[in-house]
Amino acid sequence: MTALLHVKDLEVRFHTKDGIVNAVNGLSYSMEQGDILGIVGESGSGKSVSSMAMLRLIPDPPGKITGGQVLFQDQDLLQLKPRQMHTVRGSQIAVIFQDPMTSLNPVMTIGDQIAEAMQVNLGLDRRKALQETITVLEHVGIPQAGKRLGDYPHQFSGGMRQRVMIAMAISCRPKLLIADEPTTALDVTIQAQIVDLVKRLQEELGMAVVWITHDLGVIARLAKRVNVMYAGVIVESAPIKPLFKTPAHPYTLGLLGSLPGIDLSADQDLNYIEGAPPDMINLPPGCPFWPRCGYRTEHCTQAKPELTAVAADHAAACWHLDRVREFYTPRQEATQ
Amino acid sequence: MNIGLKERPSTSEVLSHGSNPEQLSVASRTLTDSAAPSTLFTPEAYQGATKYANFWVGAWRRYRRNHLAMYGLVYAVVIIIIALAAPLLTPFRFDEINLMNALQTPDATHPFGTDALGRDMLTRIFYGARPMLMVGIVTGLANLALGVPIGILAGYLGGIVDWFVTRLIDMFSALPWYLIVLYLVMVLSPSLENLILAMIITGWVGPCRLLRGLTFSIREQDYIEATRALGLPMWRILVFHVLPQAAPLLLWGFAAGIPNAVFAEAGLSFLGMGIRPPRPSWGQMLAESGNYWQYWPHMFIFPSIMIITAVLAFQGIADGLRKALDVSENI
Repeated sequence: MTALLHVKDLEVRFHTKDGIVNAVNGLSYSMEQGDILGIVGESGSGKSVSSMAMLRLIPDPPGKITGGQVLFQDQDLLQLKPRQMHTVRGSQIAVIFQDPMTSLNPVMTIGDQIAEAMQVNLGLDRRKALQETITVLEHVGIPQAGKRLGDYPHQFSGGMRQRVMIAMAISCRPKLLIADEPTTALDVTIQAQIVDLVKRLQEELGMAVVWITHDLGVIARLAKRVNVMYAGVIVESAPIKPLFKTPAHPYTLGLLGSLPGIDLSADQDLNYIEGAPPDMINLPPGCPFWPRCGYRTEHCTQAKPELTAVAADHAAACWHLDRVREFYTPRQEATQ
Repeated sequence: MNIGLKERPSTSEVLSHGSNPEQLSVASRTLTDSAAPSTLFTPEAYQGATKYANFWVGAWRRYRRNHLAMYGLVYAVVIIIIALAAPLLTPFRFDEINLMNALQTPDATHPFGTDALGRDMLTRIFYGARPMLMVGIVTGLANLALGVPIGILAGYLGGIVDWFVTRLIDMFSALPWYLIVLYLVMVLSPSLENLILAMIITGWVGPCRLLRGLTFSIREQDYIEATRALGLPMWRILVFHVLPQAAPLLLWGFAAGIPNAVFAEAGLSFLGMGIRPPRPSWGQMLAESGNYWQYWPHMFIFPSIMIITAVLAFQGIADGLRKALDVSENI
């Protein structure tokens, strides 16, 4: 079975005044049809950049994809001509963006915006496209969709706008949906609704979903498999249950350890990972995580670890997988 | 419960990707439960929705509510009709000299009187609307046709294209436009066509600079990236997402440019650089009244009134357009 999406050694660089930012450094993963893949990592870990690079939406200059392959249905997207790229975007791969407040054109009615995508990608005429728009909007749970076609984005609430964005993304029946932190700008109850909506749509339409977030709670609710990213590489890749039960990488431990629990008393400090994310211009040699890692040894500072299998379908990039497993008992103590 | 479902257009094929009736009834339940009945999905209700969906329909609705703008529009239409139908509206020719009849004050045969050569003033005012409209509309359209594509491309593409266009804009902005127009008309020989040409050469910079700046800020917006991610080609993004945001300003600029053109045409005609006699223009008629106005005030009153009212009318239109096309102001 060939993978729907196969990313191989993807590298993205940004040329800035201060130097070259190594945003993505050899990212590899693959996805089957109908998978839900979560990508987790802190700000600047390259999760959004790598996904935008797949669609070749990195602003150039300053950004450049310097290496690797993005095989989508066995076709390397990085080799396509710009004209061919248009046929991939929207109709094959669609994106939901983080902020529904700014991702919709404020001076265009939502009916026109959704219909436009279908006119371009599916070749429908305007009337037919508007008809389909009504159905798609109903499908994502916009009440009285027919009456709301002529409304402008500011007449919708945040959650409703994100539904509109989702309607726009699924309107052309993409095989892969990239959700770039779609719930970050929403409050928690709306977040849950959006997550459930995407999950429902994914099951109905059978598309694959890449869900980018830094919210482990959302991931736990949705994803089948998770890639944890740090400094532009995957440090751990596992199905959802093993990741939460037996995390293998010290960074994952740290992330899980920083989740505040309800039983934490008010005067207790929150757990966090010491130090700051690495300077992406001057990445430390060796393992990118060693300056913040409790398990580091001399070896970590010199050689970069590769992803190694720790169990079936579960891999992590660390020199001290044995020690991590040995020391890991309750997750709160792991970061110390 | 499922009345809405039955009447919805082409449900079956629309979500062929896995919609099952249960899922859809969730949506229609909300609809039937709310105050609005199932008529929502009848074709009539649907057509109402699409009509309202158009931005320009809404703009026209807002424009109509603006009384000043409506008066301006009606007056402008009257002027345009007069200019087009001038030969049908008057028994005289604009260049029919009758010295025996010179300097007549208004009466039944010559409602606006006659000028120093005995030509009917009303006829000349009718014909004088022609160069005014020609200069205003043709230069306005040509400025847009030239400035908009250059500006929008420079703003969207940036880089070397933008650098080049910006230098060009700087160059043309540094020149005093009235002097350039004067100079060009002198070199090219005075005529209506050369006047228009000269005004375009200096005028395209306005819309160009406007659109370049606007495109520059719009292209960084998230929703433009979203349209790129949706696979829209560049021309579509520019025409449907960037241009409409500039449309209010451009339309306003176009309408506001007409009074300017009236003044420019009048001024150049006064200096003998514009419309050549015997073809009449309001500015030229005003200039001709210079020696007579103390005794025959009708010679300057009527052209003046025409210039003032025309300027006011177009200004009213411009103002109304600006308000009607601004979505952020009164929905």
